[in-house]
Amino acid sequence: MRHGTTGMRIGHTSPRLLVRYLALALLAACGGRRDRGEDSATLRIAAPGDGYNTGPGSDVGIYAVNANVFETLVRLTSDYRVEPMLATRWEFRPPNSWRFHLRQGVRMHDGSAFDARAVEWTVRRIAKTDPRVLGVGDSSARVIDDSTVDITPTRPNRRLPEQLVHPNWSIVALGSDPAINAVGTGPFKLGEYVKGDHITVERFTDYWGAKAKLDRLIFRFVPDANTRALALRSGEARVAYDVPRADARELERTPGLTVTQSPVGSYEALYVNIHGRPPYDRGGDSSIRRAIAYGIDKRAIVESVWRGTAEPGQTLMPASMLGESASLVFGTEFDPGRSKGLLDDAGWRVGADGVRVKQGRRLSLTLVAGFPNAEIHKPMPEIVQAQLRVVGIEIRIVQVADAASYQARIRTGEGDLWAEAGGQNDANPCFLPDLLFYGGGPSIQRSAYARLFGPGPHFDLAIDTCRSALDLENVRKAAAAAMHILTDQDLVVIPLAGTRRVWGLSDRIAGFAPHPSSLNQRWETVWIR
Amino acid sequence: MADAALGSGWVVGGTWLRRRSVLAGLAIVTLFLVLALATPLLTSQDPTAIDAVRRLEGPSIEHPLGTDHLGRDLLSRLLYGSRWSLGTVAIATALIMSIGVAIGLLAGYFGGIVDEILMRVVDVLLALPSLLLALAIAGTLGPGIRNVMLALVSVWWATYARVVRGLVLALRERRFVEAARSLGARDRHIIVRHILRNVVPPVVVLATVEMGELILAIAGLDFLGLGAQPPTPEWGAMLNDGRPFLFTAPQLMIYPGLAISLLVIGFNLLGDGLRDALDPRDRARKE
Repeated sequence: MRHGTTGMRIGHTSPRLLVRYLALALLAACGGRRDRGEDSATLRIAAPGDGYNTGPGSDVGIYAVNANVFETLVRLTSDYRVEPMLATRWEFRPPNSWRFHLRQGVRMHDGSAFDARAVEWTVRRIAKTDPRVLGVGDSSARVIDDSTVDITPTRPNRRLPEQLVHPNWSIVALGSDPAINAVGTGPFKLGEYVKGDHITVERFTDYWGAKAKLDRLIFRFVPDANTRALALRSGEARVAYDVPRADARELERTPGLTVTQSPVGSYEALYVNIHGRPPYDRGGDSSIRRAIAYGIDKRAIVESVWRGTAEPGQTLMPASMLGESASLVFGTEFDPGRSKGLLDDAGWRVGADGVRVKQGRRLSLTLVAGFPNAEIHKPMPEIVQAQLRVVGIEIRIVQVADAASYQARIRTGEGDLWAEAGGQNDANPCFLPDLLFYGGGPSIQRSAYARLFGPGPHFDLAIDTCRSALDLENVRKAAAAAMHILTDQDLVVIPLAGTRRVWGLSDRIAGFAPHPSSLNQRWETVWIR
Repeated sequence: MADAALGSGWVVGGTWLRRRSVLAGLAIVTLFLVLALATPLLTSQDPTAIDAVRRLEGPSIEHPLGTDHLGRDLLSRLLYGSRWSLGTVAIATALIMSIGVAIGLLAGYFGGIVDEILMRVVDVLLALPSLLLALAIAGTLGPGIRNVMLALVSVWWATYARVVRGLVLALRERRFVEAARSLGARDRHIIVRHILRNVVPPVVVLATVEMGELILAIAGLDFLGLGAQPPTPEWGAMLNDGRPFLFTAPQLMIYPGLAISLLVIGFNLLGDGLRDALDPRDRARKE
């Protein structure tokens, strides 16, 4: 679930991709842009890798490429507010229920009417396969009437409407399963899904809202970001998800192409293993953590790595989500002198090769890069390595191929620093700190992340407050308090940048509004000139 | 003596040296070897020193091949990369030869159940695509040049074992081996003194032919991020790092790509020439 909600597999390299990459490179280099027999009603999109789950809890058409086949009760605006979707209004009903009033006159793709029973069915599906985030059980949904449903989590959860914007909680038709018979309410209905290759969706003419402008969308799965950019250059695609940041400026200069960026909605950060066992136990020393935080020049990294597609960040969630409470999170500024002083005071002396030593032990740390894959972080780890070398910290970089390898390593705890790129995909300000670092609660087993990074009860208390607060300002304060613990007080997290999604487009594409959470990207407004 | 000369034709007369392709191969390999050994004399630049201000610069006196995306000197990275490529391929080849020859000798000389067991293992390994198997092993072991070498060695030895076994099966029936045995020589003595010395020359040729493939395999695994980790200047990893700059700074991919291709061509030319020179049918035609 953790990775099902915070990021996407981008840029994973494999031999098959290499062949595809070389073929597209040749095509782009020799032939220039060509429109591959495309009519103006069909849009070909170079999308990230096929991450669809076709087993229990299937999410074909939903995650990680939201093909707009399914919809949620409420949706996420680009400034992270919640607005009506399949539910027109909702209210909290003490002690722990939420009542949703459903939109009427909505048709499912099979022609049936959307009603409360579809919501009940969906909540049961979630309870069976992924109950942790929402905290729902088999009987959490109760149909009041055709257009009214109550959802009562099994634990106090005041964040439910903010969480329900996530496409993972999309409503599926009663008795249906996205992997077998994908029946939703979205502006597009499923045409064809070929695993690992593409998913095609077609306009749903009975859609309840503004009808899609295009007849057909073809999302071709291209896991490697460079290959997606090549597909755009060669004309194989007219839209490309997450093109390489290093290539964005050059793409923009290419005739017939343009690059567009979303508002900040993602982040790049280092997590410090504070509970590691030797030899990965040095993150437990707060003076080392502080020295690392002060030794990294975030601004230089942003300028040299992300070049106009990111900004230095002090939080995991977009700072705007915290409102005025954002000022409670200070962050750390680059100060190599202070970094060196902290290490000197802690007894780490500079050795002959410039790396500090204490009681015969070198200050050498392993940086694991990272989630969702190593490619997406490049070349940040090398710059961090060079910057920390200046203060006497040696960094050994270990690149892991994909999210699965990264998760395996998280479980074994073999690393001191962990590079992650994730995204805020719902409207709950506590979503990321809660999901990643919360270690408390009687019914929740401590996650592998909490075992490495969890600050402990004082942090869990802030999350508990966040979970139970009804008033938005109190939620923001609690989320800011949690971030303050993570980034200022305990320095478990070193945020490096808030990043934007970078899309490559043909200049014939119109009506495209990039969402900071690409999982919430809408396609019905897009058309081809 | 004809029996003993099974593999000794590779040095006779030096006729193969006249082959232009062999000379070209030898020249290329020697050039890379010299460059690798003399790297500290040829460049004073630190191949890992980052200078973000001077990223993607063109050629200059200070940086004759320009700089990469982190402002590192491309020439020094290429030169130090030759050390990595040649060093890893040399170590891997030595290990592969050692294991392959040892197992081939045991299987071929002793035969029976030992031969059966060892050759079934070899059959299994040869039935699977070597690179894919190495990829799977390296992926399981985790990233790092040591693990890449371990993965390649654990897959690549099978070819050597099969070839050596075949040679030993022929050699052990020869008169000079029978003579040694009848004089009371022990197995170890026969293997080391009489069989191994006849097995080594063709194995060296095989190694030369396979080195090109091994270089590609190592570069491929490095390209995939399984081998040398940043900031190590390794050619395969440099190729991968250069991908986002294919259109803006193609030299980032061209230089390491050329280096890999040249070295592989060098080893292939050399290996092919040696193999031709050793081919008894070819020799017979010439005689």
